[in-house]
Amino acid sequence: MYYKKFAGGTGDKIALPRSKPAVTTERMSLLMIASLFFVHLVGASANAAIDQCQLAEQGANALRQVEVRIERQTLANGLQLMLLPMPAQQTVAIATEVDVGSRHEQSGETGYAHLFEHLLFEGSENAPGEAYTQAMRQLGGQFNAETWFDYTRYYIQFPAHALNRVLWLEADRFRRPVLSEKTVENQKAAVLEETAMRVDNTPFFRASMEFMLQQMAGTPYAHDVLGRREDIVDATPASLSRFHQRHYFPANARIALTGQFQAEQATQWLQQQFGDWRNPNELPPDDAAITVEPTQTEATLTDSRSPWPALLLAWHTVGQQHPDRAAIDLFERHLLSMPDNRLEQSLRQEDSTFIVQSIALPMADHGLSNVVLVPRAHKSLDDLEQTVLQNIAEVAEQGLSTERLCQLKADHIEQQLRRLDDPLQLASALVANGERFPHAPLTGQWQNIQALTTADLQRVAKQYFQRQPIRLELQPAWYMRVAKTLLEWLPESWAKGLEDSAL
Amino acid sequence: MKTILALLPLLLLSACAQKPTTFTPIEPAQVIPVQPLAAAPALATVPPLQLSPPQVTQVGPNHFLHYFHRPELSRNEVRLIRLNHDAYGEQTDVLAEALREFKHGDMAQSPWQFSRYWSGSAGPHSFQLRATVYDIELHPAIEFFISQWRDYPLTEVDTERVKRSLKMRRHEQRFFGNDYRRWWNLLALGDGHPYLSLQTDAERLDELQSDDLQQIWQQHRNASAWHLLIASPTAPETLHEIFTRQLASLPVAVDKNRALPTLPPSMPLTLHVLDAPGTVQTQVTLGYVLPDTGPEMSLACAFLGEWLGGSFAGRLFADLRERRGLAYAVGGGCEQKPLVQMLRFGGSTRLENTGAFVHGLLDHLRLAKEQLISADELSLLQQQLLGEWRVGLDSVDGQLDVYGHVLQMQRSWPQFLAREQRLQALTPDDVQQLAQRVFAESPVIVMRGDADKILPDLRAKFPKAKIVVEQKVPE
Repeated sequence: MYYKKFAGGTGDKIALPRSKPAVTTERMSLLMIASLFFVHLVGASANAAIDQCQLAEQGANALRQVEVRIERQTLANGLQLMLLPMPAQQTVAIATEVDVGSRHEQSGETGYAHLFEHLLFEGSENAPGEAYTQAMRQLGGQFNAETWFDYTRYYIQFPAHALNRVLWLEADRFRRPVLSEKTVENQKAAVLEETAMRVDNTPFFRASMEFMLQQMAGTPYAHDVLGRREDIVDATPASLSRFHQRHYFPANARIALTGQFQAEQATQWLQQQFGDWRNPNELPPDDAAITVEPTQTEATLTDSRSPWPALLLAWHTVGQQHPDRAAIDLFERHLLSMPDNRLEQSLRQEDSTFIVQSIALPMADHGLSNVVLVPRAHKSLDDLEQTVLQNIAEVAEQGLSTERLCQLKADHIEQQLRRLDDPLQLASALVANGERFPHAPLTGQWQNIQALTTADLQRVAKQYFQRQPIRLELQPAWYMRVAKTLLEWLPESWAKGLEDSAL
Repeated sequence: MKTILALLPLLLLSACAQKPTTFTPIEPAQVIPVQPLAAAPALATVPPLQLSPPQVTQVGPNHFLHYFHRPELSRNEVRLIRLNHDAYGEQTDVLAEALREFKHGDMAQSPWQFSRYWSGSAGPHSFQLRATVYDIELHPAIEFFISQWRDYPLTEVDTERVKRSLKMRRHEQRFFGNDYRRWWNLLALGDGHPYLSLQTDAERLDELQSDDLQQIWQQHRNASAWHLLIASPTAPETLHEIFTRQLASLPVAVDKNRALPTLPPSMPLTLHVLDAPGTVQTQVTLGYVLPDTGPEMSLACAFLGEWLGGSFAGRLFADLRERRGLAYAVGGGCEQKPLVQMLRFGGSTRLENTGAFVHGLLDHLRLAKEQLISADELSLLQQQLLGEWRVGLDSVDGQLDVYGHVLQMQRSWPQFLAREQRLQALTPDDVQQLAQRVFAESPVIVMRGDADKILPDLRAKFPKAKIVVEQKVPE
């Protein structure tokens, strides 16, 4: 995910919503039961399992209680609004999502969606130059944005008294950005610096990213969000203005507000600022369906800056819109992403890896589940691949226990509740899910997940993960490869001893 | 065959002709003037900060329960903070890693959902365990956290795995180029500073045994105070009695009143370069360690950090990134700890910008000393900090973070909130005096980049500076 800017020191900020009514009788009863249960449990077996499906349902109820308070509206020009007043807050968060990402870039304009995201912080007709950032800074606001394959999303959070002014600033920059030669040149330089920092300064990053994108060759997902250097260098104010006109219009955007405001007043201000924003005469066609034809399944990359080999395995799955997405999501949690994911547990038991890491690549119309593995000295990349395949086969053949399925569902709810705890993430979740689940932006996916059975997970394990994975070996310089091969041949204790010395 | 293939790119590269690098020239530092928003809707009056203080109960000699009643929450936030005001948490990295290992083993067996999601964080004077839990898990979570310090929990932890994980983490730091900041700490704090002993040295780590693990745990366990922070939608009366006895049973030790460490003397302009051949960017950190951690200097450090290093529109960001496009990531700020404050600035820049970027950072420090801040810019900064503090406190998690920090700094909550009045009283002269005081000497400057490629630029742009090049961070 490519962020324009990071507000320092705010990365782990979590805010809990002020959405619940005062203490209820039901809550007090639960508490008393909890106290009794605790006293009992201390002296009881540690194996007395909590029903995690029940906890998940309790969490889902908390989400529903917030969800019913969301006010949805669509302005006459098609701009979708979601408003969630939270009276106990002292701030407001706004997320705006525009349906433009790298998939919408045409030949010669790769990287434009991300570059344009930068430029929306660089001044508008009524807040020229640095006026936007200065105004937001003066409020003590936090603001940021991200560009991905399918969308660009902007976030801000600021003290509530400034809502009217911030909506005025937001409308001005979305509708009337000023793209001068100077700001375009500066932001092109900033984007190239970002590319150098994120991509080129990290061993393997560019080559492995290009390999992964190559798996979707022939589709709009086949180029990266940062774009080709030559396209960035050639961008002009005129070409970027055309991009703006093509993609930034009200029927292509959603806005969510969370925090302390009166819904009626906020709606009035939104209507004032965005109501006469016009759509283009001819709306662009809907996104075409994407079908991926795999072009390459195995490769080796070498980077002499790297001291050690690694293995990347990936599987073609399905996008966020697909009916199988919910089952794949739970399977990924089980295998790769939950804190006690099965792959990491297996590899720990074998004592065979240094690093196990999965990278989320959310796309609307395709999926690439993946894992990167860094072996210990005595283990080969092939050994690690075997362990991965065994864990997949285990689910495909035997399924999962009911208890495990409940844990996976509870993990899904845990992630959603964390969003609930942060106004910015909450607003972001509303715009992200608002199109797909307009009446249940917080629990829409839960409805699909709740209904899943172990047979569903068995099926997706077989269908998507038991076919030949995409396999990428990341290898260091030749002498380290030779040394690593020798270590694999040595008795395990010798290899571990040498590894310890090397570390 | 694979070896030959691996060699091919090297052979091809060796045939390429070297292209001389054109280094970016220096430009004078510029301050972007504050621009009024003529057509904008007027701002409503800023309402006073509304923050209910916690209910504090002393349940033992140095044991406190802080209860934040927050009816709007859907779950409970629990934190157990162990403070050592005057004894520094040596080998904190080992204890934190051992707890992570313990968690991996425990979550496979624990019946509780929070066993997957709790976390621990360590600082020089504190160790904090935290979790967000459902009502039914509130008491078990508190009991679990207290038990981590009551009964030795690490018996089953594999010490070899702890050692290996820590070594691997350090290796990752080097691999991704982040370990150069350790060099900055070493130079700025001085050899022997207790904050440097948070990280176990390589030799000691090699010799780590399970008995050592227990000793480290024991040393950390002797707290000067224990604080249990609970933010809950439930009224506090129903919760107190069950766990206050357990909290009060945790051990406390008398502070040792150690002598404060002496900071190293300032040095003439010196550029410390950690050589990283093949990198395409240079990472730069420069800054100061401030021994005064009182309320006045805390505000000064926060103000100067935001003025120059603030995200999006701090002077460095506005000039070096937005005007000149020298860097993507540039900024800085103040980090406050009980013994020192650290005010640092920096960022990452392409190697051809290295000299211009470092010069730009230093030019802005000088400008802050020499030129009076305008009334408009000062007013903007005052409102900005007030707003940021509001945003930071507008969540239970943010409140608990700040509250924990205040406990660690041994201040009271009202003392801490009084910073708003101090900030609003600052004048342009005050700001200049602060800048002159803090930026009086050359900062400690450390960078990581390809020395062969950036040294000619650094020598040309800093002819009087001493340049020190190292291949790895000195131990």
